[in-house]
Amino acid sequence: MAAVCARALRDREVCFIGLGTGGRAFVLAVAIPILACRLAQRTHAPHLVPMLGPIIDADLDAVPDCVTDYNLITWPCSAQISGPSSLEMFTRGKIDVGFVSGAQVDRYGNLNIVAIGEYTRPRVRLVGPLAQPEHMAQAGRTIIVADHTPRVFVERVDYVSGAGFLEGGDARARAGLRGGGPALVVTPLAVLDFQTPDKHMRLVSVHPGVSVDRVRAQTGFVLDTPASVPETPPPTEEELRWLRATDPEGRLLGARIT
Amino acid sequence: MVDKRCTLAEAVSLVHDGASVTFSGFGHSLQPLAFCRELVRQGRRRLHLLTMGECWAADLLCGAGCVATVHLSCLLFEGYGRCQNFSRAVEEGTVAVEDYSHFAITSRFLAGALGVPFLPIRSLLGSDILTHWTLEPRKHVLMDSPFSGERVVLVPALQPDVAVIHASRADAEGNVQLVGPRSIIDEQARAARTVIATVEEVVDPAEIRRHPELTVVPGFLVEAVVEVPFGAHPTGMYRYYDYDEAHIAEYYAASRDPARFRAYLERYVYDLPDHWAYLDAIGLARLLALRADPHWGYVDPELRRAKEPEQGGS
Repeated sequence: MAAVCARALRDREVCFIGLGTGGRAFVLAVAIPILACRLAQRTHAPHLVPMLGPIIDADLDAVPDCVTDYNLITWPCSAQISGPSSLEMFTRGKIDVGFVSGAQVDRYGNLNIVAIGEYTRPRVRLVGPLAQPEHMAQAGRTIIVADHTPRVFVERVDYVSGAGFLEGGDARARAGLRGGGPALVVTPLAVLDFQTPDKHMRLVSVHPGVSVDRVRAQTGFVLDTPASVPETPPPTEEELRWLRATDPEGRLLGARIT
Repeated sequence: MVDKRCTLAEAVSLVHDGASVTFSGFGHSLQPLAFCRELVRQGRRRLHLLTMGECWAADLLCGAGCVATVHLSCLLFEGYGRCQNFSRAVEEGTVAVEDYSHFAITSRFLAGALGVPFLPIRSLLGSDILTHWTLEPRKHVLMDSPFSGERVVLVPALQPDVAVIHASRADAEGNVQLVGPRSIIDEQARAARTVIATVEEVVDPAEIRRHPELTVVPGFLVEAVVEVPFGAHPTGMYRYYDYDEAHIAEYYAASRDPARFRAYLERYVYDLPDHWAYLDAIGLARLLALRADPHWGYVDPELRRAKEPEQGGS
């Protein structure tokens, strides 16, 4: 998943990664994006600039044990700006790529991290929007990293905390959204995008060993599926070597960083 | 010089039932938890919390039944996941919420700090944050800019009744200094009608004036100053002490179940007369072990890893 994300990044792009959360959400929203950015820097995008919240161009080979509070202060980086200033980068249109995740993702790439069920009396209250609305409204494009189950991939999210293509078609432009919206969805099973006439999700490739039927079964809506779906190119030896070099002890992918 | 020092109990009495309050905090640091425990002890009710991500105050106060409403952009327990007490209160319908994005709630504080009625932003377009109004009579106004015609969202100013800021140090007049992450403390303090500062140490004004660049809130904005060593425990304070990982795990485990959380509150709040008794209950050995390494500003990461190799995320 990190290799697929890395290949989608270009040199000199500014990539925004949120900080925080634990367990699986950390792996999807923080660990995989960090590895992707570092891999891109090592291969084809040496001047890519990662922003981890207010921390600009941090040394991704030296991720601290805790990326949530004052341990950040001693993380080598080129700048630490204020929280509000880091969010202003979205408003100013300076963020090329935003990494996002969600407890629910729908066919138009809308995301939900607020509540499952009815908003005022939810079945499950989640963490809240964070900076996801900033990512989805204003980043040049966003990459969604999510688990691939019918519970996550739903027909319609219960609450739109991050605006994808809304109801599809030109709904983003009509809503006044300037950012490009979701460009890619990367899951443990497949790669997907929204390059269809009405902007609903399309299957791009399935990972080695995964069948198209399995992806369909794990998706809670009808996927646009080409007649022939290629296999995702597996990580090369070089990509694997760099990924292991960045996370030798599995602290990132093992969510042993908090 | 006006001496604004008072006791924790006196400072807490400035927060009335039904007040709107914003607390400092970032991850497992900077959280004014001695103040929050005293709020719980005094039985404050129907508070309205205005938060970006100050998870500890919100979760503790929701768990103790002190809260009526929460405006938030995110409440999560770093390294663990959802805030259990907060989430349960919302699911059970005892606490009502209004969601924002980080930038939207920050802009509301900033508008309050600037003394202007609203600020235009773009973030919320297309999201259900615009369509779901629960608490605010007028959560936002959509308009096309009179200058350029582009669509913007106007968000109204927020001026909390009280901001409670836990910081490194202050003088008796309330010139508050902070080293380490500031989160949105500047905006919260300037927006509030009343600012209460709890600090690790009260120092001589001459010491404050020697390092004026560290002052985050000038004294004339501050109503009360309370010296509260380890006032953020079990969260940490950069250059003073690290967060208490074992206690955080104990809190989080208790917060998963109302009965267990009640027992936690009995043990660490209701059965103790004040913050000093709380520190006694935590124990001197534990507190000293949390002291910051002067080089790092927190406990040496190598030492932490050697001691607690598998602690952390769940």
